[in-house]
Amino acid sequence: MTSDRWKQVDSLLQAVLDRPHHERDAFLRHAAAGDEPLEREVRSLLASRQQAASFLESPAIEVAARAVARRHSASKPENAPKSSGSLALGAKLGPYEIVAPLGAGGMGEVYRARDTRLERSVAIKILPSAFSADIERLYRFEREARLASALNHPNIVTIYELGQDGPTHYIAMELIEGQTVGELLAAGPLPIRNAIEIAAQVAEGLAKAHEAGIAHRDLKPGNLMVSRDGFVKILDFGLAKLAPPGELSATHGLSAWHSQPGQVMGTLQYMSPEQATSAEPDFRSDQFSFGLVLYEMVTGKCPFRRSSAAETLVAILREQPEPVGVLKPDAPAPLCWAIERCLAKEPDKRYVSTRDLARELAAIRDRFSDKPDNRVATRPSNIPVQRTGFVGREKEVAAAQELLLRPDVRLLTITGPGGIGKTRLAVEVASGLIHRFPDRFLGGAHFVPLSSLSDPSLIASVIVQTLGIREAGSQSPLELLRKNLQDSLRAPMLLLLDNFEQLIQAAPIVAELLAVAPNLKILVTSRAPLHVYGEREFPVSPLALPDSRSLPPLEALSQYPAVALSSGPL
Amino acid sequence: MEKAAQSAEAAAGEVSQLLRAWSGGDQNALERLTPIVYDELHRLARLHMRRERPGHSLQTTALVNEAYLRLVDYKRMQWQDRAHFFAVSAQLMRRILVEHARRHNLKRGAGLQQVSLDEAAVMGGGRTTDLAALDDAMHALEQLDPRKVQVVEMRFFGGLSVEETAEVLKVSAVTVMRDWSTAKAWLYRELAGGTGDDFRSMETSR
Repeated sequence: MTSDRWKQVDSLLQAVLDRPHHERDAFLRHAAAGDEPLEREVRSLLASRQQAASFLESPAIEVAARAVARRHSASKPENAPKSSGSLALGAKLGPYEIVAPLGAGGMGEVYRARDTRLERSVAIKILPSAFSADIERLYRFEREARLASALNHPNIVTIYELGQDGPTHYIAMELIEGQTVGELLAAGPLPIRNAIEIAAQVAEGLAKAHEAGIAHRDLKPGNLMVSRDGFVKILDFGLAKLAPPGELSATHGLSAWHSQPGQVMGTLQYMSPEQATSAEPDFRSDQFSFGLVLYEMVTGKCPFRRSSAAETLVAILREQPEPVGVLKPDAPAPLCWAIERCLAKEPDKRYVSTRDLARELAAIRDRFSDKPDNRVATRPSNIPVQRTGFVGREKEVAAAQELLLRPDVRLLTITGPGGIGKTRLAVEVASGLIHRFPDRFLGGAHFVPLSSLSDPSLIASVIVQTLGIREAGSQSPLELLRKNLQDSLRAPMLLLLDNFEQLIQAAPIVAELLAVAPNLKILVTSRAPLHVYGEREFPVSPLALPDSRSLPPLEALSQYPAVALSSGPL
Repeated sequence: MEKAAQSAEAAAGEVSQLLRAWSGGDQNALERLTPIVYDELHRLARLHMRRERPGHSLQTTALVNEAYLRLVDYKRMQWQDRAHFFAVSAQLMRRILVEHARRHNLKRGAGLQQVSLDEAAVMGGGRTTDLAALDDAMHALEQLDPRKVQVVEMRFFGGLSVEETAEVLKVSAVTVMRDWSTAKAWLYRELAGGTGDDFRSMETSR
């Protein structure tokens, strides 16, 4: 064939391909205009074009490598990878000499070894053959492990090398003398201070990795190493990617778990809901697993540990863990909240960035370690903190508090015209009573701002959100709230419903809640009273203001309570 | 013991130098480049030996790309250099890998590595093709349509994307796609033992 003839073939072929499928045949016949060899050639190429769809789609080096591998396998029929059984002391693995076993996890045996080139001690992890069998996974793991290690973060273990000796793949990494959190937990819950310290360090390492786009995917107590000098190191970044397909996903992995109880189960109970449903897990999945580890460090309980894999998965997906504050009443409230937030079933309700979580834990650590007894003063409520001194209404605050504490007063409504300072007064009243509602999980004092709400039917849902009650099934927010208050309100609770005036129609809901929950008190601010049974109204009058027509000198102004209130030191 | 990754990382700069020398006509450079490519080849092969499961399809593009990246440090190159190096490294891979295949065919006796068409078609299924035979077919196609052969060289041997190939050849991505698919069809038919016989007989009859 000449190249001119080929050009003819090629351009006709392209013209045919530019036509819709059903027109191609007729078009070709027409365009070939009786040049049968031309038409046949184009048809032949069209046919082989389809057959060749996957032809040459693997890069040449890959094709060559496969050929080499096949020849090699053919010449060595005993090529089956040797099982990564226990290595004897003194055994050699590349340049490493095995010194002592350090333990075995689901992801492989670990040895203390000596690097004979550099004369240093290292830890060697042998990858199970099932994990190293898939080259693509191996490569991805290698990439991710290197990336994480390259972050050079004090809370992430350093990887020296990914090596291979014969069929054995191994990881050489920094040797950390110490114990895993798993080992520490064997003796029960950790002292709160230690748990917070460990958590703060782990969160630092995680935040750094997440910022670099690397998720761990298999965070668990066995993967957290506490060195003798108090550093916490996260192990095995990226290793979860090496797990054979399905091993970590609920849909395929159940049988695998059953066949290897204990080994993979260890991972399973620290899985996030999205991992359990084999949805695409991202860094927030690590937050969930982290929350579980933290929960266990504080309480000694792994909330979703069940006797079978199926039950464990169901628990991860459906069940709410018992509040940390119930199991461990001396746990600082902010720590409990951080754990709760990590354990939100929906990733969207966890931390937007792990850095925020790390900052929060660092703050908790600082507060906790500086003033260990400060914990008692931790506010178990969301009542806004007032930064300005409160002037001029001291008597009213005291009177309202006294009223609210009377057993027969369940609903106190602070009324008065807009802008008079009802909210501020109510907040002050509630702040002073927080210690009377100490248990945030069973009761507590809660500020529920309603000013942005115009639809009375939404009030229950706003309260549900403020209380952090989790939605379950198809229950309406009101049913949910009613049921929750009925079932679990064993400790005194105060609700501050602020700016109720545009929701007066929702007053019956308030009455209903009071009826189902005998431990509940409600403080309301509103321009008008709610007019429900048992309501006590607390009208507020304006503070005395200086006469604007005869303004006194500036220094004298601050003597007036209303001025001091709005211009007080921040 | 495998240190390929580390040594290759260190060698990336050196590879660029050698490629430059080779494209300038220095045949010694090729001799020094060959073992570096072999290292990557055997590294991949070793990993492959661990997973010889029939019907298992490997999505290896990413990791092969990494192998190429280890061989040539594209990132450090000037933009003008880039296209040139893509082209040179693709030629290099073709040269070295085809040479490797030919030597092996000689050792084993020709024909042993012949692979049936169906097998060649399902390369993802774990079958291999004979790179030496492919190279011959590429030479034949080159007589008719040199650019299509270049596209195959870039895409298949060089591991380049459609866009990168377009950049090297200074044509549009659509043109690359068309060339690629037609070249594949042609080469496939050629390796299959020629359903194009009709056409050839037509040629002789003319």
